[in-house]
Amino acid sequence: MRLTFVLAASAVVATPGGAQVATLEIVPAKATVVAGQELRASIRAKDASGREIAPSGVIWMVGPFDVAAVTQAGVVKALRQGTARVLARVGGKVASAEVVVQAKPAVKVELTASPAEIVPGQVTLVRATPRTEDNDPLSDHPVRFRSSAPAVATVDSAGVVVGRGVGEATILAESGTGRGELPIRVIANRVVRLTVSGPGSARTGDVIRFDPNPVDGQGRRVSSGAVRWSSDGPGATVFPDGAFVAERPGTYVVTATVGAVAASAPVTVTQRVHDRTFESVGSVTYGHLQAAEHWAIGNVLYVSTIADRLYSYDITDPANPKLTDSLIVDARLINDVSTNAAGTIGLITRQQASSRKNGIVFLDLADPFHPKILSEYTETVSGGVHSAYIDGHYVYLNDAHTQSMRVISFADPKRPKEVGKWQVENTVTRFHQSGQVEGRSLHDLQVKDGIAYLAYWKDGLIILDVGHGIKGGSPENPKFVSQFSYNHADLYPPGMIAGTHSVFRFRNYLVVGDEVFPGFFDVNSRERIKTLGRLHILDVSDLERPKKVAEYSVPNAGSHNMWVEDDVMYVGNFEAGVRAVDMSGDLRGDLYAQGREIGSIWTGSPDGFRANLPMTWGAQPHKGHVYATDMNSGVWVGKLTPKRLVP
Amino acid sequence: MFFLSVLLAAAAPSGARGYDGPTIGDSVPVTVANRVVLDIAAPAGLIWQFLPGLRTRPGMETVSLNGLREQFGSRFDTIHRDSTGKVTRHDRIEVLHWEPGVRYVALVQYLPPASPVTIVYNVDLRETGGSTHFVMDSYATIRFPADGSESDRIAKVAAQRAEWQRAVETGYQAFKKDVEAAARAR
Repeated sequence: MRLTFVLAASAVVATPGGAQVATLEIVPAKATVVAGQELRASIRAKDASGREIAPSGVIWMVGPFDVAAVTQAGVVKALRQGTARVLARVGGKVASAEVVVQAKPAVKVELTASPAEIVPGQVTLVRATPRTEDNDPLSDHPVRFRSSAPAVATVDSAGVVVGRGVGEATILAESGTGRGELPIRVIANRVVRLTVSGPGSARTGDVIRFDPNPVDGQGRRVSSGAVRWSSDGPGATVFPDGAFVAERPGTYVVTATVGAVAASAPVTVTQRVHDRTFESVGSVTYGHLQAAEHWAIGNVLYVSTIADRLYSYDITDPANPKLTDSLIVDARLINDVSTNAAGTIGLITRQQASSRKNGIVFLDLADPFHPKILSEYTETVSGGVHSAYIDGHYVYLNDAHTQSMRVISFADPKRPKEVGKWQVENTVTRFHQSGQVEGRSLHDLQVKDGIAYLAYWKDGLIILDVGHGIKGGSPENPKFVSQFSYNHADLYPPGMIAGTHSVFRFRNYLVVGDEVFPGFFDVNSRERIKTLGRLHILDVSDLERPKKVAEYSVPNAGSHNMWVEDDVMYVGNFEAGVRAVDMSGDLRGDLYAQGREIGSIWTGSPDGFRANLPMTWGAQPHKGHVYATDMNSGVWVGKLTPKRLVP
Repeated sequence: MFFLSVLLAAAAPSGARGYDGPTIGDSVPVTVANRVVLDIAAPAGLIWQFLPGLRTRPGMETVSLNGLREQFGSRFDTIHRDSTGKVTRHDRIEVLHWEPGVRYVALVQYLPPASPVTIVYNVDLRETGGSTHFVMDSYATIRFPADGSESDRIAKVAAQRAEWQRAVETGYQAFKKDVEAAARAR
């Protein structure tokens, strides 16, 4: 994701043909195209006298790279929904055009309703999500609803269903040519009395559950499927399954309704108070280059760089990391670093090698403070590797050339070999003339208990069986399990690079992080790079149906890599530094608003690569401390400590 | 006037530390790090309004330097004048982190008539139900003339450091009192 360009323009530019370019523009200056379509752009250049000339040496660029691509002939390919800026440069003259990329039309409409079983007179809401053939959700596309049996259930234009008579009805939804159906069952209301029980108190962020007890005229408990829940006042949410969570302290009344029968229960919520705080205990400032990933194991910390070197630190004294070695390889970005569980073999990924042979490098860690190159694997991944994850004697990595997942066995560490491959298919992917794939981007991946979780940028989260057994997959033959996709255009401003970036599995949850950068930026500049992002918390109890249940984001700040240990999540929140978040218990809703954040470390340094600007990459808990790297300022060591007053 | 008085007033909080930087030209920068941890009986949102550069006072004018206000990157001056219009204090502030009610980091420069001092304020606020846990780290860089003997200079630096630390402790006790009074008045 390194895009460097210069927008400076001289008054008059001499072209290779000798003509003098005084003004330059792109035609058309603004266009709207549908994803998957192409648009031919051209330039109009004039000399100082206003005469049109035909300069040679035009360089075309576009950003964000995930919204549109452009060839050096000016052919713009629309990839995914968003707004792209196309640039043409002749010498020092730059012209710009805006291309609005509309999503492809819907081919289907997904419908859900909770509850999907109601009684006459009761209301339920049908939520409709039109989706494209690439599974992109289209939240802004109008949906038309109708009921197959209005005598049983009616539906209005907003998807509000009202039970009218006992029976079954199908709610039909259409968006363009996309269609979907959802059965709604209207049952006789046998409930004559209803009570609700639940905890009377909770803290903000605690997920508590209310249980309805509907009984019929004979006092027998009846099905509670038709219960509709509500909560009074802002600051709290009750979900269709009776789970309740509050963001603000106060007293709330939770109500269950079945037809005309209702019952309520109060709950008093107090502020969530943390008895720990998160503090910095040491740092190593980098002013000369930018830190990237890191990996702590035993008494050593490895730090990769947005450069050609890997640093090793002795962290026997965690507050004072001591540099022990630096290993230099042919790369301009060593993005990822990790080791096997024993810490005997290390792994780094390479990008932008001068030899164009990138791939991965295995390290001999017999002396952990002084890594030595053991072997390398470049054969099928010479185009670059951004992220890699070691599971047993397999490395799962992303091939930057094809944007596919490759599985490399290092059963024989001196002779690693590729044993498996998988890639998502969508309708917009193509090979650019440079040989790079456009329209598909695999970023991060994690493997746990035979399941691979892939952060597949605009294609969202992909779950694969690589040995779990749910789909008969193996490392050599990964099998698709499910996909969770969402539309980044709904979440972030147009013109920004935005995609599903990172994953981390813990308990029955998967944290899925977005990375959001400006459409153009220069990673080598010392100017601030503005980022955004959020972490989606998915319940993956059912691997085939991952479901978003919660979210964590720091307002107006980015997110990057995360790690969860002992129910605390440590997040590299880019400009917002390192954050420690309480992930204990069930998770629902907005974790930031609920006050689940324990503390943060602001990782700016006046002597950093970018002064006084945090840009925290990620954090890893290790032996009671938390190690973090910051692109702008280097290495930070934090610790959760008891909160105390020390004026 | 609070932060100027902090500079000029004088008790070192526990945990305070400092270091001497390199000699640059004819002056020596000394950075004094302080931590203030308080339990303040006020909501975080109210404390926010009292933070360095954000608290408004009679006779104080705020002048934006880059058109931004109340967000990351805001650069502005706060200028205090007495009843005759004379400038009694002039601070230049750059917001390095803006997360209302949670985290505030600002770079504050004291301009004339005060002696030149640069301070990074790093404030973390956590509501604890009825009160707020307030942690403020400050890093004040003060420049000393490089003249005189080494022992004289070391003594001056030590005295200034102690004075600064004492001022911070005193000042923030007053800060707590002010905020809690405002909370009671609401």
